[in-house]
Amino acid sequence: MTDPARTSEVTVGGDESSSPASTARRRDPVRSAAEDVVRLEQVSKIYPGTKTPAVDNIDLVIQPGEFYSLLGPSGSGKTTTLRMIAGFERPTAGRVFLGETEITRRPPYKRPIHTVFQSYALFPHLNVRQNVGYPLRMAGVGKGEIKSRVQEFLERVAVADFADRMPHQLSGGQRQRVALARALIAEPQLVLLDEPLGALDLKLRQEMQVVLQHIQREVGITFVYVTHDQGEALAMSDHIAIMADGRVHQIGTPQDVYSRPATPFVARFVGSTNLLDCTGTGAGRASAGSIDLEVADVPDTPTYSLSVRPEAIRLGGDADGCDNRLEGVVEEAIYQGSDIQLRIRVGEHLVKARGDVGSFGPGEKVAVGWNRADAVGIAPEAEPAAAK
Amino acid sequence: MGRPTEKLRGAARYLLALPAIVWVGLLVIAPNLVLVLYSFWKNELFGVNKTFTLENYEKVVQSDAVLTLMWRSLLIAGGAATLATLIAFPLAYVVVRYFGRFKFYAALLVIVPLWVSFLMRVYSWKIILGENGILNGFLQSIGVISHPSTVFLYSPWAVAVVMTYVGIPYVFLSSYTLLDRIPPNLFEAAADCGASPLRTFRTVIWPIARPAAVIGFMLVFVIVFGDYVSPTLVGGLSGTMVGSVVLQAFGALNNWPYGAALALSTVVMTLVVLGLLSLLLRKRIVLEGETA
Repeated sequence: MTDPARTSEVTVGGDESSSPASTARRRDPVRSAAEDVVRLEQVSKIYPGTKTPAVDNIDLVIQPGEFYSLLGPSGSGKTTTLRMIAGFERPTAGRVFLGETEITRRPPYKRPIHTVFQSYALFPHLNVRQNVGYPLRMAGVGKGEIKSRVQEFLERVAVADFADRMPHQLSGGQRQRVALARALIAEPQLVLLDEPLGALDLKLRQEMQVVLQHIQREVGITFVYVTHDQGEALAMSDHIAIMADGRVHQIGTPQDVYSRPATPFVARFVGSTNLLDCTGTGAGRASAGSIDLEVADVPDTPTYSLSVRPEAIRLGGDADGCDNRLEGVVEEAIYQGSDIQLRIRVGEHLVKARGDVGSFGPGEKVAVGWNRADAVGIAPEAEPAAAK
Repeated sequence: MGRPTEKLRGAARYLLALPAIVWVGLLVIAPNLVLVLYSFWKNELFGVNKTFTLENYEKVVQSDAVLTLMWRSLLIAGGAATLATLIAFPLAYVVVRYFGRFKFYAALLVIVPLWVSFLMRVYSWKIILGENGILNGFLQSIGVISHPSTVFLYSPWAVAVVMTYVGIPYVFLSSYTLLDRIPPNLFEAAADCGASPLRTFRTVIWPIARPAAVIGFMLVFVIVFGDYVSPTLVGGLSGTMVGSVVLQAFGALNNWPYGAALALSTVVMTLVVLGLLSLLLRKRIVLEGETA
């Protein structure tokens, strides 16, 4: 049994002792299968009439009580993956386990898994109270108990005041909360959330992020969260699986995937970064086109991409003590409020960096520097297969 | 020219509505008014005496034959509408839910009979139910009966069968349009909440789509209650319905005032039934993407 959370680290530069990234929230990566909530084994999905698989041979292990995100651009297969866990789609190949039980072919209504749909999918003919109580009604729970449980969950998501309203009389944020209460009330082993915040405005979205995290810890139910918003995934998750083109590129904690991206795609997709195509030129040395660099954490391959985050780049006088110090010319300076975003021409490269407001302007010459520990080399052919 | 209706004032607005008003007035209101007037006039040997009387209605209420026919029409039309709904609504559900991208063509197939003349559709049942008809032939060939039976045709049952057949496309149409508008994720949400397909239908789909079934039922009822073609062609004596008597009064009897009173009685009867049914329609359900 491979544990993706761990092997992903191995792929990234082979530095197993790594990751001060493992924070208090991080769970022991070596766990027995018996403790998994959900396990996907070599799961693929090819929709009828299509040739390229929507999901291509993925393995996932989701542990009890964690907040697990599937992150990727649209068309990456993350929603299809979620729908296979929910039971709305059947995998073309592979197996899905819930605990020790295989549920690959079990219909959705027989799975102790509930979903918060992207468009909420509240029942239009039932009021808020009846919507939230519906899963209990289907489970054959007595009327008295339904009533008290519904009240409890309505209060938990703060919609008790709207209990008698119909769904169309609610705002987007309120619908969202009702959908969440409905997914939680029957105490499922797993709650799936399909871009639940996608339809909300920015302020409400940030508020709901906090609500979601808070409730998830409170009830202790495992959440699987699908999103294309890397900020959201980084902020909320215990583990993130980053997907593209139906394949898993990397699985790890938010710190892992940000600071040690396994593929160039991950480096670009999570946060903003500079990717320099490098050729190794001996121990700790590399050349990226016309510039020579000192590197530390790089793969054994003759060529690789070097990822340097904009915030790791020091400018002007700050660049003086750095392992790598280069000369550049500012091409673009975009005011961002708290700082400015710079694009600096260094040889044939255009380097993204951040500077203090008013520090550098277009056309100015500037020293650019970073320490080798702040840069990560990514094997160019680091195909998802290797990341598994 | 953003919203022209708002800019038009007074006379101009009525002028625009005039064609519709004339149409409705001439073709709907006026004939019915004439019918109402006739029903209160006296019938005489060589024409109509335009003096007020209630005797036409008295005759309607006091006639056992008319009451029997009214009752029978109610049973046959109600039965046919019920059967048509029981068949067409689930059919529409299956088509919307399981036919995927072929659902439009499946719907078309159900509706195609509407393009054939009503008379032809009724007449074809004579060929199916008749003594030398398809049904008898089939039953003989599988050995259920040894001689052709005459029980299938010329009975209230034959009329009910034909009317059910006539009604199916109407219930199907009204059901299909509403069911097709139910967001697919509601089916998933119900399954997700632990509802089997059957319970999903009972607890989610039926409550939402019930108005469509009721409206379909109403349509069929209205169409077949006063029908005299099907009873005449396949009903025989025991299958006669109230529409036939109305026809007789205007035709053979040449008693227009009595015919008018009979006709209006059936209209009142229909309205009573529709009124009762509309009680099932009152709650308005707002589907996703609609405004209240």
